[in-house]
Amino acid sequence: MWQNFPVNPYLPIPVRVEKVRFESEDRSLKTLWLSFLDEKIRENFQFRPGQFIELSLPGKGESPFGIASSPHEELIKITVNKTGTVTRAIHQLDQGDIVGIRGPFGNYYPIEDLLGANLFIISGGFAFTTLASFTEYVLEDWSDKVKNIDLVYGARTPGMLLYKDLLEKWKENPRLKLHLTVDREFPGWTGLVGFVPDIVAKVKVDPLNTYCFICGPPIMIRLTIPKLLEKGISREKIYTSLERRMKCSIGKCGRCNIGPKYVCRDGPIFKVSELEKLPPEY
Amino acid sequence: MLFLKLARKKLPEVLKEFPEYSFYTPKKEGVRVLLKETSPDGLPEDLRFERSTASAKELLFPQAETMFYFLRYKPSQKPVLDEGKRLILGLRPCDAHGIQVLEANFLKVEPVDPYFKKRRENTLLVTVACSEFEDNCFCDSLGSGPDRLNGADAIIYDLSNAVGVLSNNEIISQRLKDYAFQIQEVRGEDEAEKGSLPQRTVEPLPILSPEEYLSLILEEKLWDKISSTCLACASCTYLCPTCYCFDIQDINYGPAGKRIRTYDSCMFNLYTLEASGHNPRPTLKERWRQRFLHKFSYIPYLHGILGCTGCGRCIEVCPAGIDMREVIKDVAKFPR
Repeated sequence: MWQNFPVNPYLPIPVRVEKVRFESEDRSLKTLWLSFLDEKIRENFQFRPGQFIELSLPGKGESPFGIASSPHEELIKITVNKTGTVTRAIHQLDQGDIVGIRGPFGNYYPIEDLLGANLFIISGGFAFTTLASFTEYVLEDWSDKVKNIDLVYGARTPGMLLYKDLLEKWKENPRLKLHLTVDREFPGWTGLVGFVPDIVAKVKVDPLNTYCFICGPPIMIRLTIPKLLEKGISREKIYTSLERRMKCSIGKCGRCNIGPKYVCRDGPIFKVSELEKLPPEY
Repeated sequence: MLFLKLARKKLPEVLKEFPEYSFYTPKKEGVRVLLKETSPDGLPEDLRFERSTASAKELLFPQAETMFYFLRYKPSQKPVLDEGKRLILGLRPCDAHGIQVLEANFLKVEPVDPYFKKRRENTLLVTVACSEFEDNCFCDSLGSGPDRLNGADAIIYDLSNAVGVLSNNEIISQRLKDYAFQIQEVRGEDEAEKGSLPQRTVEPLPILSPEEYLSLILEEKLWDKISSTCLACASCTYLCPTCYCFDIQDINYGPAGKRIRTYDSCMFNLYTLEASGHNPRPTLKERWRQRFLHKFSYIPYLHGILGCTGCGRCIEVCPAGIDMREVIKDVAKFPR
C-alpha cells in the first residue's frame, strides 16, 4: 500500500497520540491510540488485520508494531512493550504528543479464504495484537461468513492479559469460545491453567474445516505447530505471524529475511507449509 | 546499443563533452585506491586503473547518508537527495555487476528507494575491460567479467591503437558520436570488437544453482567448518560491491537532528538481535550461512543474477585469510 507514501517511503507521516493506557499490571505494556493529523490521509489510510506500522520518534528511532485495532475503528491502536531505547521513549508519550508512522506494511490474514470455515486463533503474551484486530474484525464484519471461533490466549499471569475490555465483550459472543489461560494458579483466577501448546492440544476442532492462526513467542509457535498437526490439520491451513528486527520495512535493508523471504514484505504471516521450506531462523 | 571506435588520444577531449558531470577515477593514495574526483587531462594513457579498495557502491550508496532532518522532533517533509552529477571512469566490469545487484534491490522492487534512484540517474558508469586478472579475482567463473557490460552505462575496450566504446546510454552515445571514426549499431554485446582479453589458466570454480545451494541450509557441519576461523569483523561486507544491507539511526543535536542510514552487516550479532533478547541468527554459523546463501542462492532466486561479482575484495581484506574461492569449493563438494 505504497500510495500512502507518494514521495518517499522512509518519511514518517505525523500522527497525534489521542489516548494512552497501561495494558499490563507490571506497566511494561502500554497501549496508544493514534490518528493522522492530515484529514485526507486519515480517510485514505486502509489496512487489513495482520499488517504492521513503523512508529517513528525523530531523535530516538523507529520500531515496528502490529496494528491492534480493527480496520473499522477510527483510531489506530498499538501496544508497546518497554524493552529498548525507542520503546522506552514511546512509554513517555502522552495524549496530544505528535509522532510519525509509516505503513501499513506486510501481508495480512487471508480473510477471504475463510468462508464457511472454523477459526482456531492461538496467541501468547503481548503478541496478541494483530490477532486481537483479526478477531474483532471477524466478529464485527465477517461473523456470518465464518462458522465457529476458538480462541486460546495465554499469559504469564492474569494481569498480563491484554485488552480485557475486548475479552469481556467476546465472552458474550456465542460464535466465539474463549480459552484464557495463565502459567500457574492465581487467587481469584477462574480460567484455565497451563501453557498455550498444552491447552491447544485439549481443544476439539474439526481438522478438515479449521484454519489456525498463531502468534506468540518463537518457542510457543514451535511447540504449538506439532499439536495442530497431530490433530490432522493441514500445513496449508496453519498460519503464523512472525516478528523480526526490522528497519526499513519495505524489503530493502536486508535484516529480516528468512531465506529468500522478507518478513516485512512477504510476511509477517506465513503458512507452516511455507515456513518448512525456509531455514529455521525465527 | 551502439559500438563506437575512437582514436585513443581523443579520450580526454571527449570527456570535456560532459561539463555538468564531476569526473571520478580510481586513484592510488598510500596503500589504498580511492575513487576520487579528478581532471580528464590526467587520464592514464594505457587506460589501466587499479581496482579501487572499496567498490563503486560507495558513490551510489555511501557508507553513511542523511535521509532527512528534523526540528523540534518534527521530521522535515523534504528528504535530502544528492543532486550531484558524476561520471565515473575506470571501474571494472565486476563493479558494474555489483551495481546491477544494488539496482535490483533498490529500484526493481516496489517501492523504489528515492536516494539510490536519484544518485543512479545522475551517474554515468564507465568501465574498462580488464587486461589482466588480479591474484584473487574470479569473475570468469561467475560470468560477470572481464569484458561484460553488466550494469555499466558504457564499457571501454583496448583495441591497441584505438579504443572501442560499447554503450546503451543515450547521453554517452550522443556526445561521443562526433569523435568516433566508426559507429556501429549492435544487437548484443558479443558483436562488439573487444581486442585481446585475459585468459585464465586455472580451472573455473564450481557454481551450483540457487536451489542446490538452498538444499544445504540445514547442513550444520558445513557452515560450522566455513565459519570456524571468521572473526566477524565484517570488513568483507563493507567492501563487497553487492552488500546493500543498512541500518537506520537518528543523530541528535539538541531538539534538532537527522535520520541517517549506514552500512550494516549480517556478520554482526546486533544485526538481528531483537529487543526481547531473542536472536534468530545467534552464532557465526547462521550468519555465515546467511552471507553465503544470500549471495549465491537468495539474490539469484529473487533477481536472476548472482550476488557475488568475483572481484576478490573480501579475499584481499580478510584478516583471518578466509578465501571465498575455497568456500565456494567446500560448499560445492559437500555431499548433497
